[in-house]
Amino acid sequence: MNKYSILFLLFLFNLIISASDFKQVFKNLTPDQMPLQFAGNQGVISMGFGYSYTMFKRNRTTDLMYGYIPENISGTDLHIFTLKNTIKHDFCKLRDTIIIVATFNLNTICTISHNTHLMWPDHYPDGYYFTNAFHLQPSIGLEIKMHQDNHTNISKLSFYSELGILDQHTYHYIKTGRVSLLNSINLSLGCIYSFKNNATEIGGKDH
Amino acid sequence: MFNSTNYIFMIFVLVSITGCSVFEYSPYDDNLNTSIRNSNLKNISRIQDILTEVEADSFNFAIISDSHSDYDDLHEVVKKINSHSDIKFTIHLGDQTDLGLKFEFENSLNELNNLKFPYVAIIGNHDYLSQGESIFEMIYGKTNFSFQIGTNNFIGFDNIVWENNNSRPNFEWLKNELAGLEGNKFLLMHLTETSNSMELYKEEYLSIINNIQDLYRFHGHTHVLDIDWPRVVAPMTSDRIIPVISVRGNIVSYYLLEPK
Repeated sequence: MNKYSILFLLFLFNLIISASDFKQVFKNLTPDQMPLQFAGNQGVISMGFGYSYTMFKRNRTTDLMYGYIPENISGTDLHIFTLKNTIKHDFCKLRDTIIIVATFNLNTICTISHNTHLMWPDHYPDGYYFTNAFHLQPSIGLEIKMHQDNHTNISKLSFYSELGILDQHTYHYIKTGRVSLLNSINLSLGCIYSFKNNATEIGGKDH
Repeated sequence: MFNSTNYIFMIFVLVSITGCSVFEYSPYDDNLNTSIRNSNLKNISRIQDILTEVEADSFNFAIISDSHSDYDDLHEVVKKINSHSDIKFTIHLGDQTDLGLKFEFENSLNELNNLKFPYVAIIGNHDYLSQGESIFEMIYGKTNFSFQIGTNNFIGFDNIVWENNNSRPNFEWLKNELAGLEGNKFLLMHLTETSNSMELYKEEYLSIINNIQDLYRFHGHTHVLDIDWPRVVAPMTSDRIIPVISVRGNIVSYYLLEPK
């Protein structure tokens, strides 16, 4: 089983647990949204597709994103796959047309690069290292979207910013008092094009 | 009219904009926040300056290893070394990171830069992971290097195998460095010859160092203090035991700084 099969299975697993029955898995395969993000440990720019659903009475989205950083920026080619799980909570309305949504994200970031491994090469004894290709990044954010009843394209666009912290920083912070957690926080910006109309999503609906 | 949710929103926006945070593209890239480059070469020059002011053949130096992400312990070890003004420089024998990530190198640098006297770093197997090798080379310089202090010869040898594309250490370079040297020879490297990854190359390595007079070998990697003089394996910094090597002409000995 290669690295890409594992990623696909992880993604499929997310879809399965988000669906109420198995048929729903196939129905869910048509993406609901297309996110585009700047930074956030997912590459300079990352983009992909995602699905929205409701679980435990919360609006959620799961996005699969791909980011790339060329050698001249990062020192080596980096291919970054991110599985982004988001819980959304309508936060407030501004002037009845703009909705502010609070987002709570858990990003699973997998980087294919020089000397990062999902499966370690054969010359390593079993269990010598844990995989160094995966990182988790929890983040909180705010998403701004238009609340319009018409089906214009602009109403399908939303913009967000997120503050995240990588697992390794948290580990260092917990393990030692010598690392500042505040300095480890990173900022990302992004936008989401929803294939659905935002107005129909507010309040969420079960698939 | 602002309500509490608006205030929370405004705080979030302000925190985002005022830059408590930065844009991070990947933990694996080599965009270092530190401007320190080629530190080994600069520090070797500083060591040579310091020791010519006193006596180049009479000095003490400390060896530490495997600090990984134990920054508390590294901090204490640095404090301990600083409290002994007779220690004129320190050698870190590798593994100053867990995963070879840029911020791990930077966190270690934050502690090591508090050393009163200069330090020289050797690359470890963990430092090789991810993009660690190139980050190490940016911060410290070449992974194989040598320098002289008076008649004392120091050889920093990169003997990492598995993490270095499972490749054979550059023994030709080591042979050349050792050839014809007079005086004390201090061989600094991370892996011991008994490490699993050195299994294939153990005999070749031993045949190179065999019969070399006044050769002192210093290793890390095992995390456990092991002294079979003139061979010392430094413990991990969390043990807070610091071997100090005393050079007095051609007489070389050691003592240990131990926690109280």
